[in-house]
Amino acid sequence: MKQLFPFAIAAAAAVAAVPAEAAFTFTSGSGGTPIETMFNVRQPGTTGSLYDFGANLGNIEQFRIASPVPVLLTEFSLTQLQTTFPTFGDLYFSVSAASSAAVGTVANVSAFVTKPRAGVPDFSLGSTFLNPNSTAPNRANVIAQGTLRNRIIGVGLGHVDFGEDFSDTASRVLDTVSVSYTTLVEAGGNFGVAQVNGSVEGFTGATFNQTVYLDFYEVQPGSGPGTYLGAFGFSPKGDLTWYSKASVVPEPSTVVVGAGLAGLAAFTLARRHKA
Amino acid sequence: MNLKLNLTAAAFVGAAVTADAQVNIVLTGSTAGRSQAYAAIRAMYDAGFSQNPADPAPNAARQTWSGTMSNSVPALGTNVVTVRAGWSGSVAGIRDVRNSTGSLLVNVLTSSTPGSTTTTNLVADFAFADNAQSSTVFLTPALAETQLAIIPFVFARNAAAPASIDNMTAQQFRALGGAGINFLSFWTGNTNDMDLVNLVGRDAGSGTRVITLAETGYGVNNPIQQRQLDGAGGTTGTTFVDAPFNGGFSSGGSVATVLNAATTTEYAIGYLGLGDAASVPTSRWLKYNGVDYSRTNVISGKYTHWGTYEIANLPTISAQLAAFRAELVDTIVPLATTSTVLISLDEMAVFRGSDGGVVLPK
Repeated sequence: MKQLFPFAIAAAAAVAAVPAEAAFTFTSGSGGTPIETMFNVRQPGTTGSLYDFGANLGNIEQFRIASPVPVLLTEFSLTQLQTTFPTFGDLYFSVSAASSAAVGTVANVSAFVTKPRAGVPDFSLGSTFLNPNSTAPNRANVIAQGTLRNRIIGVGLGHVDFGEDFSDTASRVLDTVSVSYTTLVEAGGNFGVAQVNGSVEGFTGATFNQTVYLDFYEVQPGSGPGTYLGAFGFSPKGDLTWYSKASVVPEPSTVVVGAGLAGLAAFTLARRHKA
Repeated sequence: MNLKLNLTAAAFVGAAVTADAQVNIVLTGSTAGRSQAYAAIRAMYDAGFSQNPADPAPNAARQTWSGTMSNSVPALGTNVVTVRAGWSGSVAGIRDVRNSTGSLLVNVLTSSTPGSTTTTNLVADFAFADNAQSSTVFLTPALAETQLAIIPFVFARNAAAPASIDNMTAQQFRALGGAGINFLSFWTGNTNDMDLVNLVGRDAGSGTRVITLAETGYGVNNPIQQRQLDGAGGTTGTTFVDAPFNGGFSSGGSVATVLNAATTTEYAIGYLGLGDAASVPTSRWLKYNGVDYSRTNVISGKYTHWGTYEIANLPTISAQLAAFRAELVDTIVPLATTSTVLISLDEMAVFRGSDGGVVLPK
């Protein structure tokens, strides 16, 4: 069921400038659609929110190509997050995508998952995300990987079917719903499958006071470890930034006024998932 | 209101509904239980009613009757009552019966004249369902739901599959639903058996699917991959291929057709209501969690692949619809005691509180 909850109705114009009738959408490759990517956030525990938050980050292809500059993802807002999680801490989050059909070089039953990146990276000028710092998920045969694929897609479809929508790219779902992120990722944070080698989630801690990073992997059916693509950084400001493994952290001035800005703008446009 | 009372000129000038009035009622929902609804509707009519398709047609996807129900539903008097049924699946029925604006319509046969194939799209008044509204994504508005009977389901293997596929566990089903395939070794125990077993099943509008996904712990709304044959409509052909992701067949009859297809040598397992499973030899019915289907095993709690058959409608309906509904309930409930598709609630020694919920003694 789609319904725009009261906050969004009241604040849509001021906060997101999204038409009130905007409904959350999500596709996974079937029928020639793009394989879209979900940013999922939950807050378990007795004091946690009743809701999970989800944002559709758009076509997975944007994360499969090298980007020389970090990309700020703009499909959701801090206000939407704080509306879902009034106490803005103790958040578990991940990014995932999966294919329900072969699309380009992505085979059917492929998955894309995050893994928590160890340590606190040095993000001074020139640092890169060339290498992962996490335990890679394993690729598996189609039969074994189907469960992971279906659960990842189920989270997206859960927002379509049960979401209270902030916009066409951001929504919240009661965490008790059968296809909520909380239900499908399970308490262990691994979507109930061993092949991801532990949790796919990052954790902000109770006092969310520094950016938490997750490595991002492509897991096509097969064997061996998944392919590292880059990393996401989730900041206390509610920003989610993508660092391709080719990204080099630039000086702020470079991003704002230099060629990086042009690249960022162009890339932002290119990755918008609405065809 | 959903009651469509088409008054003639004579009735219009009269003070009340007269013999000239037409009462039109639309039923939808469960395909698994359609043969029981068929029997109940026929039992409610006075002698001389018409029916399309002609009797017997208990498993037709669309059925239309017309006549009077003065004996069984006195409140309808001598009005001509036309009941049109379009069986689209339990979840689809719950989806459509919520509609009071005319945007969700049921495709039904217009005429009760046998052989007429003209169809029309109408708003549903009642939905039969194998599952509760709470197991669907269509949660509002809350419908009035009345439980009628227990409706069991079975897994069955296709004609080509070896007899060693004789059981389905919840775990096996959950693994099978991931990609719609699994190795034969999961059933034979011989790790050299690397032939594939395909899963054949229903679309998201199906209560049979809801109950199966709930019972096995797969998750009622969790997407599932199922398979179909590569020929026209997915029911013919030689090779199993992916059905559209999270899709499946719109009727149990199609699942049965695939399971009986002699055109393929590949292996498959499907899930069905007993009405559709009747066309599959019982020798190909599988145990569920090691227990054979039998009425006794359901009643005792040993066999747990079952749902609760119910009728659902908007909370507020007209007095005439309410009278029709009350008689329909009173007719269909006792049918379950002798039905091959349903089991009476009164016979059950066990119960469950929700679809797929724990089965407990009464």
